[in-house]
Amino acid sequence: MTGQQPPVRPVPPLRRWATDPLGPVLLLTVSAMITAAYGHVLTWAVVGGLAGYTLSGSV
Amino acid sequence: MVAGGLFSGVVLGLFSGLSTPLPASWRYTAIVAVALLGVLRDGGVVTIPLPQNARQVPQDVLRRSPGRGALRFGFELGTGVRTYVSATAPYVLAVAVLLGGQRPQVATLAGVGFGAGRAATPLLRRASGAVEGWDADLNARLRVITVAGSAALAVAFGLLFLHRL
Repeated sequence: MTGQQPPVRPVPPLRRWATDPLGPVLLLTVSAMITAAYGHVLTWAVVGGLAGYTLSGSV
Repeated sequence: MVAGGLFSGVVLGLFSGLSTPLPASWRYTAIVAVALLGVLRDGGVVTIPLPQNARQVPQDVLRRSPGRGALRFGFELGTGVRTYVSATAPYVLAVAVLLGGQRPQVATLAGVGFGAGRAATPLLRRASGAVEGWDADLNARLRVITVAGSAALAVAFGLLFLHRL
């Protein structure tokens, strides 16, 4: 036991970009626009996903 | 979480029958109007108090049995009922399912999607490899996420409305 904190490994930029909290919003928004433009029933699943993700700050 | 979302969706879908006597154009107009109000609320333009069961799932659920507790925790979180509701989009979705969810697959898909959207947060957080940094990023982007989410719902429901005309 040295009392030192373990070193924090830096996160690769690509991984940080791929897991950015805004990613799902962009993906789901584009999906919602496309499915809704075609009047597809899957729009409901996509808007459901968006609504669920907007609660990211809540537990 | 997906099961919890599905449960909420099915319950709302069962009540959607009550709005069936209203013409579809009225129902979709109301959905779009509520969605636009949601955008204004999330944008801080209007203040509308909304009901919520502002309680977290108790920690002892996880202590008693980690496996079953995690499932129960996820289910309750997925329902969207036993949690703090910090965004308007879930309310807009609930109204939309109540007014436009007469077909069973609509409520089912909305519920499954909601649960999956809830589950995306912890999955992405874990996948980030740096949870503290991810939490800080989330806090910085939370306003954008809620406003963009509400706006996307409003546009999507508007487009669905056009298909209903």
